[in-house]
Amino acid sequence: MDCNKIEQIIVEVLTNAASDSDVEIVRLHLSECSICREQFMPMLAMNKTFSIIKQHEIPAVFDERFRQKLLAQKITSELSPALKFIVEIFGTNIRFAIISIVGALLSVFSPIESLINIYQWNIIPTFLLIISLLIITFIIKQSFNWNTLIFYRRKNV
Amino acid sequence: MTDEQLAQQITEGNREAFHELYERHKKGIYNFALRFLLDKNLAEDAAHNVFLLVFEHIYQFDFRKGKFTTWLYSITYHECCKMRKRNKKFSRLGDGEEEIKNESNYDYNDAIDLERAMLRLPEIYRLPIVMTKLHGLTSAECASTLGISETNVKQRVFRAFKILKEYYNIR
Ligand SMILES: [Zn+2]
Repeated sequence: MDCNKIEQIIVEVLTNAASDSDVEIVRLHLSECSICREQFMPMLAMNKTFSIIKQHEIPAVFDERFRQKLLAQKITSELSPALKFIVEIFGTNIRFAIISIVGALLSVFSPIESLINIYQWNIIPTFLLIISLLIITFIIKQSFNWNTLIFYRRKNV
Repeated sequence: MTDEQLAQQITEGNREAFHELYERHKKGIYNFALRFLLDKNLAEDAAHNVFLLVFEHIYQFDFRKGKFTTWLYSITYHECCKMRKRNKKFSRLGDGEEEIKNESNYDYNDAIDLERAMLRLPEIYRLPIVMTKLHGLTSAECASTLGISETNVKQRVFRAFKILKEYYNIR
């Protein structure tokens, strides 16, 4: 058997595509031809070693983190497209996003403004409202467990 | 129950079936992503995304066109490509070697050495090796996942073995 042919069969062996007769041909040839033996024996040995390489263990928190992402995806998929857009912009936290939007809307169409109804002071209550809403949002954000509503961005944590 | 039957059940709204598929493949997908991206955090993220994508797109899976695992591995391959693109800091070798040491209990040092050597291979040789040798894909399945010809897969596997042999010679 010519050595080039053997190389072709070796390729089949290494890609798990060789038949039993192919394996036998290789075995016979390698017992006779020292050049091929030197070239291919280490490869065949490695090929066997590959079968005993074990898988890496998955991280301990793998399942829990996946569960959270699945939940987040479920919530996102149930949101209307408009809210999805907000999530896209604000990223991580949906309640924070909603409160901010409501806050911004309130500060523009503020009922307090029409109560005060002093044109010159228009800018000041608006500004105060935004600030107070941000503070309230921050306090609420701090005092609850937000974990289940965190929207994961794809990032390298 | 086969993967394909489970996939069918997911499309019919069976959440348990999804859980079963996830349990079956999470380790394999994580390992593939890890040996592709060479970074534990990226691999975990990629694996998670794969299952989210599977859940979302399961109705697109066509039983007549091929095995579920082939479909799963092409999703994983594409997700890993995306992940790598997104992470500019990603380096092919870097200090990763220590970090992704296999912590399974081994009887054979050979296997540890071989894996370490394999992880140093350039990606185009590493992936066909990982797929065919460690995840049991046929060269045809590997070819369709990577979008190259079957002959090409075989050539790359053979070349990978040559490089690994050289690595052992030098050592
Ligand atoms: Zn010969």
